[in-house]
Amino acid sequence: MEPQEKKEKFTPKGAMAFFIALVVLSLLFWYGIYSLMIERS
Amino acid sequence: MKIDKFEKRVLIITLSVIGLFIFSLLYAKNKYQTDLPECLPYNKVYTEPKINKLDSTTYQVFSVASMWQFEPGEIYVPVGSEVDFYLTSKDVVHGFNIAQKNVNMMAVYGSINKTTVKFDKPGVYDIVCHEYCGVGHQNMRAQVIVNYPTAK
Amino acid sequence: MQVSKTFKRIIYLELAIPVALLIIGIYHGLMQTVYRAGVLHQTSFLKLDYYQGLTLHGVINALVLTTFFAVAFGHATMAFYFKKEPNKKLMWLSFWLMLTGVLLAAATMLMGKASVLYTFYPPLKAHPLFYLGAALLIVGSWVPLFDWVRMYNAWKKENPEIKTPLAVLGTLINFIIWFMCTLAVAYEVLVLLIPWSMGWTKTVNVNLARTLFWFFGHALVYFWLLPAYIMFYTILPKVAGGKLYSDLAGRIALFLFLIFSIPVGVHHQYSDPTITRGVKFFHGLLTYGVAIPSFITAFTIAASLEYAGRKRGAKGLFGWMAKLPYLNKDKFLFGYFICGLILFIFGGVTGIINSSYSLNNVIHNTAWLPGHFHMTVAGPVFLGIVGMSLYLYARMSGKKIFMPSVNAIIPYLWMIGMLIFSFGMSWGGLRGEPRRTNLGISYLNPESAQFRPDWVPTTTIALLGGFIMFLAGMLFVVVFFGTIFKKKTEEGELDIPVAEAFHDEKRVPLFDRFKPWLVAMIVIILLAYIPALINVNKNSGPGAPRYNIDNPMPLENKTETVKP
Repeated sequence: MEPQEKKEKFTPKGAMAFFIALVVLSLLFWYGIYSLMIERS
Repeated sequence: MKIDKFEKRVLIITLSVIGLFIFSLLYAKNKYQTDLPECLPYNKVYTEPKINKLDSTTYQVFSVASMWQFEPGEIYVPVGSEVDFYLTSKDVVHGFNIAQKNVNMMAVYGSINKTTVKFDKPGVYDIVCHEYCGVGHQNMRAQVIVNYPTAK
Repeated sequence: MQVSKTFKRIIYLELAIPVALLIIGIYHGLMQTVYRAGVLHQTSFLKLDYYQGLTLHGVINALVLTTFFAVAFGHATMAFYFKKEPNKKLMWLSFWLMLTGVLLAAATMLMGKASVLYTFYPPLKAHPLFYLGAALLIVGSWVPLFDWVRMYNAWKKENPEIKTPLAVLGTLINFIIWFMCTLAVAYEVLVLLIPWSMGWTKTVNVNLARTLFWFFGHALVYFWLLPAYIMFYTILPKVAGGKLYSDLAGRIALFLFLIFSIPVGVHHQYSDPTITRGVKFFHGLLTYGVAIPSFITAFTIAASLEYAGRKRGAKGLFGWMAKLPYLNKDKFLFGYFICGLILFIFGGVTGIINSSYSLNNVIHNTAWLPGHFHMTVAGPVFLGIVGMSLYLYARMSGKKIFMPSVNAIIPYLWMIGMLIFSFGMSWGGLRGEPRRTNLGISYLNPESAQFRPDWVPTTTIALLGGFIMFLAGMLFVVVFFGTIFKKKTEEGELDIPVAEAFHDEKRVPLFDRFKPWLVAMIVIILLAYIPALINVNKNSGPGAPRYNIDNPMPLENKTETVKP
């Protein structure tokens, strides 16, 4: 393995933002079906 | 063992979302009685199709699915009734789906499935078979007709 | 890595035969959408009927393609990382068992004697050779695991302190899951179904058969998914020009799959009788457990791609998404992977909905279900399989890709078609449209009393998506076979891109050993399935006799007809 710079700086802020967006999308879809379920009960 | 701090956050967020979902499901079960079908042991009394009227707004339907119909095929109940559906199959696996009322059960030979529905709104509700059951599957449908009490 | 002619031949066969079968498999996908949209109001077309086609579609695409590829990709991975080929005799044994199984199953399906769909629920009966074919396909796929374990043990002896390569770990974990879960379906097929379909046993407990099938059936989707995950963790970062953000995250994810893939099967039986709500809820909780490694993966892969993007000079929170080799012909694997991942966003989210206990009532067995699973098995899994098959073949044979520009856009065309298709199916499902149904005869037939005008737009949208996917699929088959017919331009070699890790993580013994995880896996399976099986036993009544797809009378009754 080639030697990496010991202090290669990288913080995955964008990936974190993407992940949050993914979670928000999941919540939207999930609660969408959830409210449909309640409406039909 | 060093776990990356971002991965740790991801894990915590994921577990929180799961916790939220579990709480919401239990809340709905409590407040709206949303639940999966009820499990009953086998009893051959449910293998004969029947509609029992227990009182003016309480009905029991013994629904028997077979290739390729549901018996009874037309169920008339007044608005506001609560109906217990007991379901079994005379032959292969069938589905039993009343989409607008969250009714979703499998009809299996040698077993009884059960769910309870409150029909608050008048209308015609399709009971659709949604599990492949042979060549007549796409024609297999019954109906629940929910009317005002004076109508038939 | 230089590999022998025999190794190449076996891999080529295992990659190419399923792609050839895809012609039939994808044709029948298109046909489903055509019948369902009411374009046809008939039970068959060109001598193949709807349910026969649906069976072929599921078996070829979801059982044959996936199993053959997992075996071939496993051989390639193990050989490449250990720089040793697997035992050739065992490779051939595995191949011939699987191929024989496929031929038997295919013959029965094409003869119309196995129109039971890929789940083959009794008491709908298929020809005994269909079940035997399925069993042979499965047993054939067991063989490689034992040889790979031998290879791994030998490597471990020589390298006790070195981390097992992530791709190797993934391959072994995947096949351990597979072996364990297929024991249940092998039992169902060999002990319950074949004797019953031959008439040796009179009845079958349908609930037991279903429960055994789904012990297998959910883990099956991880058998499909894990090769794609291996590609995402160990190949994608390299192809994207970046590094794997955390190798340890990948290991943790894989071990979580090992313990959670199997004990969740009852979430496919939420609507079934004989199993109590308590057991169903428990499986639902465990299913949330199996969602965790996918969330970990989503972040880790995004971080790896962000690293690649920033290395190319991307700025800002999302700029990295633009600086990736989407349409680079030489890095076509990136396109196949990224399109799969985009589809998986929706596939995964809808999967979590399906597993959420009472939410299942809204969508079970409606068109929403195929909407969901086409965004998983026909998303990252399919695209990973076909992309990687093309890559492995081209590199091993020393040939250039046929129509490389077309190849680069195939995954995007597929993805667009899939998004449209799944949108139509999901929306239709929420409107009560059933799956596994020839809608054209009744619900999508304006002359029928059952006609549902509200399902016209949804099935039409699915038809459009299906057509686009068909196009993409056929273009892929052309590219793949076109590449096979090209002349060799350089020395072929077994080549798999290997991603470097960003964090130089030390070996963590807990995530590099099998024993504790295997014990945990077995314990959780027992906790999840003993109650389920007790339920089934207690609540089941009589078993069912055999039924053919076209006759409401059980088979036994036919022998009682009295001649006048």
